[in-house]
Amino acid sequence: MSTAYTESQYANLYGRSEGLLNEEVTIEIINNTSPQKVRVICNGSSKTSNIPNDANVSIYMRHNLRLKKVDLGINSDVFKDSKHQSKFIDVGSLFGVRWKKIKWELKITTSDEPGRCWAWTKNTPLLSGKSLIKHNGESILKLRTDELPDEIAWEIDFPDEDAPTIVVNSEINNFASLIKTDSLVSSSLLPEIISNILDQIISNYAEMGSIGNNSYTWEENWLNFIKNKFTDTNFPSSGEFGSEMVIDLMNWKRNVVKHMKNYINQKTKLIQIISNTETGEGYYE
Amino acid sequence: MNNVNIKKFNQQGLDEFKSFLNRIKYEGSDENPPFSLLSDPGYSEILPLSKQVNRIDIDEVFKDRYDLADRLVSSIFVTESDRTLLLDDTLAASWLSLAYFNQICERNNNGKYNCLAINRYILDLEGRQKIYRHLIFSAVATFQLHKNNSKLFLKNKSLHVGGELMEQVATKEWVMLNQALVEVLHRLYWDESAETPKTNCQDHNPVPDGGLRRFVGKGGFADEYRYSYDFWTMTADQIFNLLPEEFNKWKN
Repeated sequence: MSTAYTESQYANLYGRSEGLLNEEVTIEIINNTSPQKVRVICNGSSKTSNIPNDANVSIYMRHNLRLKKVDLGINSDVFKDSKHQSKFIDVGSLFGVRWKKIKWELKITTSDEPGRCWAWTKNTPLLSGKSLIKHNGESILKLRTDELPDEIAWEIDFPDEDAPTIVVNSEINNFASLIKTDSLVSSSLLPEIISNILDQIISNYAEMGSIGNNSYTWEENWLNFIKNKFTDTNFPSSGEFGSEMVIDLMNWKRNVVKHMKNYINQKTKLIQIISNTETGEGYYE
Repeated sequence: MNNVNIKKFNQQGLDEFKSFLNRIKYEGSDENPPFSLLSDPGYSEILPLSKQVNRIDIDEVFKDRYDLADRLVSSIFVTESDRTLLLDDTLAASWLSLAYFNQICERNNNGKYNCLAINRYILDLEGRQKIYRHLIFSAVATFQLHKNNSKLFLKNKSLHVGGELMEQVATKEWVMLNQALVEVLHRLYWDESAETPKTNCQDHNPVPDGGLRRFVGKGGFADEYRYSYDFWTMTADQIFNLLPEEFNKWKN
């Protein structure tokens, strides 16, 4: 049965490595290429200079049951002299039309010890949004633009191991920046955005029977955020999942959205905006 | 025997199949599945597989999910490009759901189907976590990737349920995609003689030392080691030797 092992029993694995390289490595989409190409940009740093020159640098890309490994070379070439080093990858050929959904991670490994990593990046979506809301220093809501079908103005994407992301239809000029800066837009949309996110939390909970089964749990971050900012009502997660719990979950969702509207002063903001508009001041000013 | 040429739905065929699912799930209909859609050129189109003759017997009875996946991968979706036709296409995966509907959806004594969530039958390619809920896709994809080691997820599992073990592991794509990690899972938790997962390995209240959730769960082995080790280049033996002491009792 469960013993002290259920506490983390592992050695300090990170202590033998240089750790995260997310600041040093970025991937840029190359516009108007067919098949679609991306460029991996590697910037040398004190971390990479501490790693042996002959360590191998590889990037892994995956989506929907496909995994592709691309060898970038050895450390001294890839992260040379703090200068930008670039490598182009043909993601269109590797992943087809769904290339936008790719997640990638980079690893620097040594041949001395099987699988041992000197440094790595987190698993990162190729199209990652810009942070819109942070909690405890971590993004919990992101924003990006993309092509969306039909009459969809925006939707919420739930990328693997990343924060929920508002995806705004790129055909609507300026809409993304209005969401960030315009009180009328943000205070009107935010309740629906939060409702979408709460629906996903409930849906994931119904499927998995628990919250926080992955190493990165955006659901846990959101529940902490909600409890911290809006309401101290707990997520109703105890007991058997059945009709009683569905009722509790729906009540919880309604309660959170109501408290959120209070928190952002939705009514007051709208009154101010509308009265400014009526007096000719306009809310864009 | 009821042989049909393997095809895929067109949009109209998919819409008709969805309507059928809605009727049996929400309107209490006890109608039979609309198998005529499978061949009707107004609702389906050719799936360009590599083999010249591609027919399936929609009345063929499979022993379990492993049996179904073995049959499909070994004799129908033989090449990588064949499997891509299925794994990338809601229209193809959903066509197969209808073809095998009588096996992947249980019928109650009163003649009504016990229809599960719609994404068990219609492949949802938009959500990473959702793709494994498709009853045919998940079996084929898992078998294709892991062959014998997929027994842990598929063997002796009824065709109309996904299974908790699959739910626990498949939602972590980085584990499910990794053949070495899944081989380690198979070695630890599969009882070859009984052809079932080892007793108690899936327990969660409490989680036993070295149990499945201590391997794939939050803060478990895979989570803790995934960054400081490159599981993608390691062999199953190398990962096996890395396992902490708590997994010893599952090693035999």
